[in-house]
Amino acid sequence: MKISSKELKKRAKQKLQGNYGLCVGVQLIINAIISIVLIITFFAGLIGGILGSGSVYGLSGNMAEYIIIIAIVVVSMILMVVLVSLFTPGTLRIYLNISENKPAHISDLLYGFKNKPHKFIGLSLIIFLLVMVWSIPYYVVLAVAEITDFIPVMIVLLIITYLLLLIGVTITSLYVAQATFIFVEAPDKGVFRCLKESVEMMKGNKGSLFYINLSFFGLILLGYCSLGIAYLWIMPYMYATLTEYYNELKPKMILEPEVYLCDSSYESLKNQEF
Amino acid sequence: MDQDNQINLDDLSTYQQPLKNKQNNMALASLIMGIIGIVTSCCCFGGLIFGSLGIVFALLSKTQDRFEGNALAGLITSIIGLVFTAIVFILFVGSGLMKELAAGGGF
Repeated sequence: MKISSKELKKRAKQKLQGNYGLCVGVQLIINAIISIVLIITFFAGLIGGILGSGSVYGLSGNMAEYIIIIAIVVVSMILMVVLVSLFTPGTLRIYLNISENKPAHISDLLYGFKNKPHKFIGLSLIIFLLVMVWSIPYYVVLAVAEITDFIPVMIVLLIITYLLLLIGVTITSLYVAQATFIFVEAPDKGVFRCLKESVEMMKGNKGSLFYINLSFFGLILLGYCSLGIAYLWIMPYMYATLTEYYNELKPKMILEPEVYLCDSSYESLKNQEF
Repeated sequence: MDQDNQINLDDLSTYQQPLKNKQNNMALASLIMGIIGIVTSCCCFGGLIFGSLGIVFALLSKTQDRFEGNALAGLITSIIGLVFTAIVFILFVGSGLMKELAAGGGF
């Protein structure tokens, strides 16, 4: 990566100037929808808990209702994951348009819903599974530790597997970070091809992306201090910087094929009409 | 020779003032947040929220190598607001602790 993260951030801020209204609006819409789903999940879980514990008179032991409420919670959680995986491409489309100085509209947010939504959901699911593979050793050790009543050896193993989980998740996330961007730019590509291209792009560049992500730590802390309000501006900035990073990283079209086919001899240039 | 010394009035008429940079709204927002942060620093969360927002706006408004005037002012006022909030918080906790100690049982 030739360009520094400071330069990428400067570019992102310049591109965002005059577009903050759209970006904050997009962030607000996504957060509102996710909050509604979360609130529904919370209340469904609460009611399920009350009914399950039998604290409501006359409803104790009514397992059918309990199972229905749990099913509602599971369905709403799946709905949330689907919504996130469908809104992310739309968000990235908007930032790609802003980055390339193309007109960006709020309707671009539905890009994921309009262009092969099943593929976007599949991509999110595969990335999720790839990341979750690293948690298997940790949960296995945790289960064994639970059975053996947390003997010292198991505690050491737990710490080691936890560190393995952290490192594995970080490296996997870095490798597949560009897959969604690639897919948004070319929805006709296959899911696995996007993942493969992302891995190819990130070879030798993982450190720089990790550094960029780490450099947002201060802003994230400030976001927490503002009780989450500042995230409406911080998230667009982060997205814009990551988009600039992708644009810098993606293979450029060197020359159009027509240029190669064009006859550039002296005679042909002489005969050319201007 | 006369032609060389003659001032071309057409050139003067077409001279334009250099264009001023477009005002950065984020920098202005940062300044406003910083001032509100100082004013509301006596209320614990007010200073914290507005101070943080002021710093974020100031950082996001820096599109060139240097901070703009408003952004720098916003950054300074926001930091002052946060420091005031921290002092108020420490005084509040300290006075509560002192009262407890005076009553004979802080711990």
